[in-house]
Amino acid sequence: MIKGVVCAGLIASLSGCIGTLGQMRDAILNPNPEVEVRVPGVNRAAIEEADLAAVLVLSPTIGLGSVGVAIQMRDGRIIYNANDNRGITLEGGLVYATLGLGTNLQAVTTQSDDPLVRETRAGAWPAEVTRTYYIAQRGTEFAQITATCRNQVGRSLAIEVAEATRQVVEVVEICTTQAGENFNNVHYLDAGTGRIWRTSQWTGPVQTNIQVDVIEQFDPDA
Amino acid sequence: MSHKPHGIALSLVLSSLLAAGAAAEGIGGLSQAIDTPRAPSGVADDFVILFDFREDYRALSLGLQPSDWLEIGISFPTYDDDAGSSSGNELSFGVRLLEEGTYTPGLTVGIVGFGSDDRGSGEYVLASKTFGTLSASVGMGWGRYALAVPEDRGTDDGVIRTDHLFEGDAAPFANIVWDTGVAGLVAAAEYSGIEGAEADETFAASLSYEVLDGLTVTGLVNNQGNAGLRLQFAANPAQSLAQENMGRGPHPYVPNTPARASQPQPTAAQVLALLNERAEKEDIRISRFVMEGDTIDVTASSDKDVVFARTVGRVARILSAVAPANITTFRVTQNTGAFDSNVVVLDRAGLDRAVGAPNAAELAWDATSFEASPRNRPEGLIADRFEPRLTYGIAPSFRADFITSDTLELTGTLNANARYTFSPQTFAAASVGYRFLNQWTQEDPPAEPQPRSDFTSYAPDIVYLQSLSVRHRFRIAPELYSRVSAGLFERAYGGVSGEVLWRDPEQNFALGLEATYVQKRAYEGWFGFEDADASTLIGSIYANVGTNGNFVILDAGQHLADDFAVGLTIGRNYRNGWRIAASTTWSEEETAPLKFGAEVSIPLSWTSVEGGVGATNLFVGGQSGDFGSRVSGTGLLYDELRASDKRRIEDGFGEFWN
Repeated sequence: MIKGVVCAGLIASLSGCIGTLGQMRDAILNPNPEVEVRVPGVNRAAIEEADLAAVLVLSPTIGLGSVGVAIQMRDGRIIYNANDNRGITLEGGLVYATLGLGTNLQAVTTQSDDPLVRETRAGAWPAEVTRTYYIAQRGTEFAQITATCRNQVGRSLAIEVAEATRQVVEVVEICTTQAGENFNNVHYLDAGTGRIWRTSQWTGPVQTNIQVDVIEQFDPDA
Repeated sequence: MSHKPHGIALSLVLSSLLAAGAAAEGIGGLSQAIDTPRAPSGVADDFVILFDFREDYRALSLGLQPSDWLEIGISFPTYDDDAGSSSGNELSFGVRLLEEGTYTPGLTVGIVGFGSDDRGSGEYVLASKTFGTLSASVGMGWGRYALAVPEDRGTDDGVIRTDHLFEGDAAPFANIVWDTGVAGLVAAAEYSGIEGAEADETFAASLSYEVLDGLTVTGLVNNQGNAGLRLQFAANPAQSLAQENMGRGPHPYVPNTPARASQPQPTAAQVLALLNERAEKEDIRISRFVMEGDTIDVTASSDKDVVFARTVGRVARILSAVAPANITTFRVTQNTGAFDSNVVVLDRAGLDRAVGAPNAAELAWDATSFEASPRNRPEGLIADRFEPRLTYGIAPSFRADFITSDTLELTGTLNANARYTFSPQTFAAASVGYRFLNQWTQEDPPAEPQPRSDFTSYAPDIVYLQSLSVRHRFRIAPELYSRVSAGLFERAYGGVSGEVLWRDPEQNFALGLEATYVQKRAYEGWFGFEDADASTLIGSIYANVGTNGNFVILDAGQHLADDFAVGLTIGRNYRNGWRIAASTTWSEEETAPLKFGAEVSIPLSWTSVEGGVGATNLFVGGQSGDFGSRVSGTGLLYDELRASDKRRIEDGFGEFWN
């Protein structure tokens, strides 16, 4: 026997709802597995012939690799653009911003003597560097995450970056945010100049570390 | 057994992920150990849906933590015991008054079932402390926390009482919750001074297992001979399940340097061609384009992106690269389907200053203003050529019904929908339904047709015509929107309806007025009417308040039972498309406790990197009583326009450069 009142006016607008429900279920039941990075092939000869500054960007969190070429310099930062408009902005060797590689990094501010911005040889790095990361959130104000990094100089070694061998020194940064979260950055600096050839840098709590290999350095005089 | 006459009707559109399990008694959607409360353990915007199931008790509860210190819950319990069965509708609050310190406990107070005379109402005060993975609470409770069946609490002939709060019999309680750290297992144990059927005091234990991220099953047992299950779905709308912005990036922004002015400038046709080509790659459709003087004016939309600020930003990025140097203003019009609702005006020089800055979104917002779209605009290079079209589909819905059964019963309905769209402003639509799972038993019609309580007099076991109506929307003035509708709006009513809505794009509120004349639809057959009519006249204020996406909707006027009633809806919109709202209605004729409804919209883009503007919508509670009820299906204008609210766009403006 029916008791009480049967509800009315409670029905969801169902157009397209079932498909949505299915995708929602799939997303929850099948979380993204650990992804394997697809590293694109790099034609160094073509890049050198075109005289382009270029970087290889690897995003382990989404398994994506892109080759970006320098398209613009703005306020001393180089903007590299890849297929599908994925992009990265470098300030010296510091990853200043990312686009299309996950939860975008909008900007990074740092101290004036940040060795990632100013080429600094491994032994001459300041003991601590403090950087602030800006990430979009609700509203017009970006969320800010400030992290302080201490560094350790590691081994000297030769690495291959897009078919070229580079003599580098490894520097590991151990970083702690104000909220107590920890992450590491790993950099491979030119043994002679301190210029970055390969770097894996934290770019936010969701996107985490992104690796950048410098295929051809930007030369402002070129 | 009989339900209370004011038993709330309840249903929920179920997704398959929520279709299994059931649970133990929930406490109005607030944080709890087992049956006793604990301090809020989540963070701001944590949202939870709970199914509780015991032999003599079932409940569906929704909880939201608007801030770190406040929890709000709405619960729809049904009780079944020797005295019969009854249904409740509980609004609950939990407030953390003191944060716990290194050596000091936190302090929390809670009120469950506020404004309700239901047996589930109660109050508590508790102190809590966390020790690593163990959290402990001890406190004192009143009402449901002191007695198995409390009585005479909450309301008195429709007047909300407060003199019972924290008064009368009280009993202590204590609980511990231990996150084992093993395979998502959480164990809890508790004591309460409630006397039960088999013991003077109650001891209970539970074990929870997180089956999947956000989905938890809990089993419990107590010394009063009760055992139960709880199914919990927890999420945080502010934290996407899918990583954002991992698809195609936006077009690189190109500042308008003086050097560009000396280069050859593109024509309007060339700009349009480039804009179309590049916008298409980003799933943005340009439906109107005008380049005149120092301004480019476009209408842009995305079928994939719910964040209009991001669509505007992507259009601006492309225009920065392809527009002639003399263009100083980009105007991006937002279209809702029937209306051009906003013109977002962007100052190009301001964007040049903003791009790449650590406060780029703030600077871009400073370079943005809003205008109402003019009713008549100059002919563009392209303008939408609308083709009339027929669309149709079949969609099943599943609901948990606590009212038509003593148990948690799954009901299923198949809906066939069709719409013929004559123009962007005008369409005719029909919906035919059939409840294929768990029909109700038809009751004799009442002597006088009622707005809602006679719903079970409609014939079950048949294919029925849910609605068949025509709707036309138009603008009277740039800021004055209007609608007329006619036909069968819902299963209970058909007639005519008109509405006017005023909204200024620069303002954070809108005003609406709807007048409707309807006839009660026949209990049998598709097209007949009963000898009963009604008219409603309802004014509405729609306001966005604060900076967290919060909104308030206030409706007041003559409702279906010829009663004056006031409806209040409060909720929160999220930049990613989530929407959570709760509502209640007070009527001058109503003597029962306040009833509450809730609405949750979960966008597809929150769960899938593929994006999309679709959403899963959940509705619980809502209008089921005869008083304070309005006709549904007329097509309220604000439902179409609310995505254009300035505050909604501002909320998403952090995504402008994404």
